[in-house]
Amino acid sequence: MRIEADLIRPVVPAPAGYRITWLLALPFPARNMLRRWRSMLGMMVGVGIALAIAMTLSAVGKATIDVLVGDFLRSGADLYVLQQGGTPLPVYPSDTPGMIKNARSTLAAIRGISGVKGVVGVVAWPLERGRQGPVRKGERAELIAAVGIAGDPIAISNMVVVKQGRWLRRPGEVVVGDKLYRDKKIAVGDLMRLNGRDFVVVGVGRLRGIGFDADQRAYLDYDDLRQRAGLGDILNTIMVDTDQPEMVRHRIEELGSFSTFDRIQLVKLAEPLLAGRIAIFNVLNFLALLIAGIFVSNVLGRSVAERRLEFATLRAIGIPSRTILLTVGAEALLISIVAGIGGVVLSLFFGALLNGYMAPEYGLESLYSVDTGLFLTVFALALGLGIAAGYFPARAATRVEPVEVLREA
Amino acid sequence: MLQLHGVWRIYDGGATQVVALRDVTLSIDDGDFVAIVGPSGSGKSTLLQIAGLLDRPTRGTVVLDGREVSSLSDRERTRLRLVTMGFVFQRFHLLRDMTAIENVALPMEAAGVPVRERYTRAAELLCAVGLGERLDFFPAKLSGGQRQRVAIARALANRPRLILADEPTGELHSEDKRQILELFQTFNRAGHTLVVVTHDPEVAAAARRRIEIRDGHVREVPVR
Repeated sequence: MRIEADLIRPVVPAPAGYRITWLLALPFPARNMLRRWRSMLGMMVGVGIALAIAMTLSAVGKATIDVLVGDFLRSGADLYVLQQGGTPLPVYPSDTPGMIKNARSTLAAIRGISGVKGVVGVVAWPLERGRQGPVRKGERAELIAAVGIAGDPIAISNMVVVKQGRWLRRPGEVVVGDKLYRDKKIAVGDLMRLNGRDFVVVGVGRLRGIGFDADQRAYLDYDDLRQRAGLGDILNTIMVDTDQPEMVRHRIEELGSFSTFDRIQLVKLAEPLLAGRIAIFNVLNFLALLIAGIFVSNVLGRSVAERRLEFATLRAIGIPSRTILLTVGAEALLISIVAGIGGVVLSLFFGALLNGYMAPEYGLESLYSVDTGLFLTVFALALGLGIAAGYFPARAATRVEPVEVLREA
Repeated sequence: MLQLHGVWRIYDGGATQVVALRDVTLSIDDGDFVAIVGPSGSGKSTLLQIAGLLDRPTRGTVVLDGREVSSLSDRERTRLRLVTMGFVFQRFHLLRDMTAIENVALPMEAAGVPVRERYTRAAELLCAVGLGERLDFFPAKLSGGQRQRVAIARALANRPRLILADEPTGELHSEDKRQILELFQTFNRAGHTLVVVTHDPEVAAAARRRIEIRDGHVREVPVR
């Protein structure tokens, strides 16, 4: 049958060739999804924020491990030597790294092992900080966590972090951690009285590989600390830089009853310590995703209810249920994808704020650690959740009875 | 073409039952232009919905081209509506996020017509109803009469044999009404079967057959 148009005198002639844009060539569900993006903005923003929270929690969870072991991983030392039974990552008050006796001879023996490029020993001890001038009656002593350093840490790459001034060069000098510098308002060039002797503050910085409170400590020469604290020839930890860690580890353990840890072992030790915190982060993460899913389902459900007439019309004119299902499903998919991308961007922004402003306040290098794998997992979960959440409203759209809705209209 | 045999439609309202159609028997032949008239609430729209496979009779049968269709599955009825029937509603019911040409091309897309062919035909149909300059307009930018003409073009998209219209001029001004009536008459002359539910005497007068419905009963009224 020739089309009816021929039988009517057209008011204007049919265009010679109607230009079909790429949008018009798309299937209806995809075209509808793109046409309606403005009405979905609210949902995209809401879900995007929920995903940003989930991703930020993941990144902060990752950074929590980093806070504990990041310094060890970046320090340039390949092995950490402790007296057998010592705890390399002290978390609880009873945790102690232990004491290596005959420290100088042990250091010399390790230096003598072939393949060893550098050795640094550390011992931590609290020192009393005195004020300049006369002491008032009843004035309480202030204790500073001091670290004595034997050997040259500058010779080991990345072991020393200096933010101001310089590192220790000679006896009588002290370097203070960044948090100590800010909290106690100690400036480079000041004198700092520790256990009755004045030390010149030559820098602000820290030694990596001694634990997560390195920014709160004062660093001084090993002999200075021993003398001030009245310590014997002891060390807590010896850090070793080597190209042959396995061979060197065996040789060190032959020297005495020592335990040696490499970086991978330290990370494995840190993970169970943080299991509780990571579990809490995962629960919060799951809740954020669940809220996002409920939000999508709820709002999309309301949108379907508001558009009952539209779906009824589609059903009435013979559009198959599958197309209607895909139409609502595509909207859920678009919301999830845009919200996912927005969530990543927003989370990175939160991360920049956390690392730029909050982390220094706590004396930490980072409170937010980007993990592509984790981000992709959250993104994939959000996508799956969005589709699942969109399924029920989509089914509801296909069950709209055209006759009822058209009667109401 | 379409026969209704002993059709009843009873709405169950819990304690009360509303009988919309009572034992309706009716035959619509190829090329008919039928006006269904009657007071509000008499069952006109219910009759159209049953004839258009949008609703199922409580009792009785609906036969389309010799085939009993009232007991077909939803999927089969949807397919039949798509390829055999065109619908025109009182309030147009265009998709507001789609342009005029997209609204017209949509049933063809569902029927599997290739992209170029469906947009060419949609453009021709819109030109035929006098909207050649409004192809890419969204419904919100069109007047009531223009929207109804888009809806008519959409109803014709898949070359249906039967066009069902429910108060198609109910929301239109007289000039728009006149144009719509002209279009209906032209389509009828071209061989389309038209069933129009209307309150409007002008529309009823344009039809070749008139069926009056009152309290669910139908009777043929001679056309002068």
